[in-house]
Amino acid sequence: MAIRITSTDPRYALLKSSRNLRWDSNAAEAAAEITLCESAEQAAEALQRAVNAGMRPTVRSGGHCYEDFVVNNPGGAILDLSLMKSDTLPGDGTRFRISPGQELGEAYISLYKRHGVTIPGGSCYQVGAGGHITGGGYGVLSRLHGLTIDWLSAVEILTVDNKGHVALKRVDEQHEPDLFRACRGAGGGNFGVVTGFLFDRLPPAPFEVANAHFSFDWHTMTEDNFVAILQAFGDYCAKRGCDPDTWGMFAALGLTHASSGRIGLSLQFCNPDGRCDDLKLVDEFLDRFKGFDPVERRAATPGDQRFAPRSPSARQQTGKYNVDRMLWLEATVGDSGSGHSGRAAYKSCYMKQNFTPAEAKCIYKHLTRTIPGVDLRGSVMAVDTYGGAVNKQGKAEGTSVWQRASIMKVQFQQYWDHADEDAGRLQWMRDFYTDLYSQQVEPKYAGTPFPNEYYEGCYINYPDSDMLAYPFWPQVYYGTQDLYPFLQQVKRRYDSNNIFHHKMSIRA
Amino acid sequence: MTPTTSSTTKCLSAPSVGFWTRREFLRGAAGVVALHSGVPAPPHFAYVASGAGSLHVFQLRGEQWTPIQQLPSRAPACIVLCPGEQTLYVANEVEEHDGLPRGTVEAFHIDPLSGRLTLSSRTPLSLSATRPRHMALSPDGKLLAVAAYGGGVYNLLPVAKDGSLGQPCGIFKDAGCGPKPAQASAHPHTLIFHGPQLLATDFGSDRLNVFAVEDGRPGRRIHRSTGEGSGPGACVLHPAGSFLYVWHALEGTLATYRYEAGILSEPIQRVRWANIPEGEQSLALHPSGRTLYTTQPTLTAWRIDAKSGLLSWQKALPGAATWIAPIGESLFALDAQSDSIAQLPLDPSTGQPQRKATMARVQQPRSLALKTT
Repeated sequence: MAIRITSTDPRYALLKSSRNLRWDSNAAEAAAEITLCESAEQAAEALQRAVNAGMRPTVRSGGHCYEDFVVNNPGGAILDLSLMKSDTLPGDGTRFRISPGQELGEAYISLYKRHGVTIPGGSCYQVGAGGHITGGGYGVLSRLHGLTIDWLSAVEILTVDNKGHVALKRVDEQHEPDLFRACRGAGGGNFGVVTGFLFDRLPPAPFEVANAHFSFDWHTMTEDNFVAILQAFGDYCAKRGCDPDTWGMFAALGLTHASSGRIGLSLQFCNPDGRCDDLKLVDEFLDRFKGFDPVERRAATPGDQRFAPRSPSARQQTGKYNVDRMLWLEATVGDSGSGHSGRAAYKSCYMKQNFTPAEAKCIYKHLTRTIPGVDLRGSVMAVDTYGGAVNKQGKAEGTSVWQRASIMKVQFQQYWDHADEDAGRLQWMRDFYTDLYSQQVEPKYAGTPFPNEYYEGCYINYPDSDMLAYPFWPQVYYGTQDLYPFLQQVKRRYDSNNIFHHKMSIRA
Repeated sequence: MTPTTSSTTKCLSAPSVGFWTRREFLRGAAGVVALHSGVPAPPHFAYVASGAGSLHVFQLRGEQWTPIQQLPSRAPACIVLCPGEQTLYVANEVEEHDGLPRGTVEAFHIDPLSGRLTLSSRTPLSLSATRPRHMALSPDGKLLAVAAYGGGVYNLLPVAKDGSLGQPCGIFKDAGCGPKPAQASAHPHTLIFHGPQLLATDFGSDRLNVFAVEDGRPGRRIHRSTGEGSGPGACVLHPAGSFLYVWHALEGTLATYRYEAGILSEPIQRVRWANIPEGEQSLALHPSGRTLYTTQPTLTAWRIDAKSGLLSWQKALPGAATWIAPIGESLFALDAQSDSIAQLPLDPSTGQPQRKATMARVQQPRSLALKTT
């Protein structure tokens, strides 16, 4: 029996709320009830009850959505899957199963201890698998092994037919392949309630990884050096980083606001064999930055939660550069978080080319810009290495992640605590983003990384409702080819009544 | 074109409800106009929604309509006067507002002297409440119900004493479909308040719904099938509250349902036109409850048997119309084909029109309300 929480229950106050305090679920926006479902059967029953009662169902696994898609639902019903953690296999030869309520950290541990394999994530312990995988499943190991949805064999999903009846389906490349493809990266809350992700194969987990953290001093940073650092990073991604021997290199530039004091550069590395005995690729990568006085740090850039804190068991390896060698699971689960529960805002961009000087200068301009009365600490433009196995040919056609030519992935992040800072911070972020993405796109697409020779739009798992101001937002997230029309077709077929909807869901 | 009728005797009965007054029945049934018991005051201003994206205000002196204002409005589909007639509500039949999939309701302040409109608010509906087409005010004037045809959603909006609207307080997201291409999903079409109950036709799912409205929230109590592929659209409730007349747009029939104490019968009559094209129909009842008017294929009057509620064809009326409403002692007919607004004074005792006069011209008129105070 599912656990049904209504407003009279003491648990309601917590369960109606978002991790991101910007979405405060005030009474007018809050769901009327939250149903905690521990099985597909319970979820089916709860979903049917919601549909019959005319309540909009909102599907939530870990609750880490960047927008309010899994929380605000006036008078509606939240189906909370965070207790749905079963990894019982269906008995059809499927070897691995992840349930939507499993936190990524739990999935890493379970898959590793039972089978020695992993999904190509590697960070964000507390993020729920349900939203992570339906949006693509990108992580620290994606350059080495691709996206999680590239490995997905089947999905178990509850859909609501055109008469309003709930049905549990198992879909794969042979059975209802269109719905299966749509579940591979189009984002959560679109077509149904995924109750299980099934995998026939998963990549072996690395034996160990090497982590390194450096920083550059903002106080002595010049525009020329800033531009050079960005271009050194981008050049690696555009050229050397495309060679398969480097795909075990995940690096991130943490371009903080100047008021934060330091710019971060972090990496996690293993060779394709999953070991770190040979670290010459790390040296080769870091050599690119030695002219800019990098200072070794013992922690990642503040706000960048993809890197675990240094484990006490880490072995510091002193060489040309100091790195921490850690067993992969220690490095991956550590006590890493994604548990930030203050206020936050995010934006994204896929980049196909190195930074142009104009882009780098624009970034410098905004990161050094001050606004009286606005504290911009906690702002970071995280530039991740991308590509590698993600960009292998043929992956786009069978999935709903079309961005397969990018070499960097940018995530704009801001974290703060007090509501009275919202306006100033958000405006700065919007101005920065709009300015940056108005330079190398056609004027009619100004303000967005509209797909072109430089960009591949935005990542649906970093949703940004500011983009809804642009009528072409679906193309920004789903490309200009046939993916969005395909998803609309799937939506019409499998959710003709638009039972599953949020601000940025597929609009049929 | 000769209509044929069939009757069935199967119906559900239930005790009658005694706590709603006849006046409230009338106001709920009228939907788009404020009706008054006794002799209505002469109207002073007319408000017309145009499919061309505008609202038109006319000052009325006798039978002379003088245009005094035209202002933009996004796809106005339905207009409703608030009980005090100080505010006009307009349903905007749009797919999006501020980048989100939802329609809106505009509220216009009415200057009591000049009758002119000033936009006072634009209230977004809930997510997925797209393309709202119809609205109805609750008998106590505290709730505005909106049928969002596109997204299959019902919204209830609180109405403050000053006529201003609050955010939706009640949301019902429906699901359903029919066998025909236009019925891929639920499409709430027409709403009627009857005391604390809200009646609705659903064109997409071939259903009549009866909602109980409690604390501003709708809970469905009844859903009755109107027949596969029937496409129930326009409907009116008899002033006595005991018969519901529903146009089944996709099968071209006019059905009579017995409705008592919130219980809805099977159809007790279906009137079918031979060769009538599928499509929209507008229905209106004379306040006496003796006559029903329909618009397609021609403006037609139907006699209503006072006891059984059954319809019998009475006569064809002059002119054409795509939307009609009885207001005061006249039947007002809007015709989107000829862009005309006509008034047909009715014989108070028989409900029969005496003559027809074109009062004004508005491009694609869709809905009308008269301010009478």
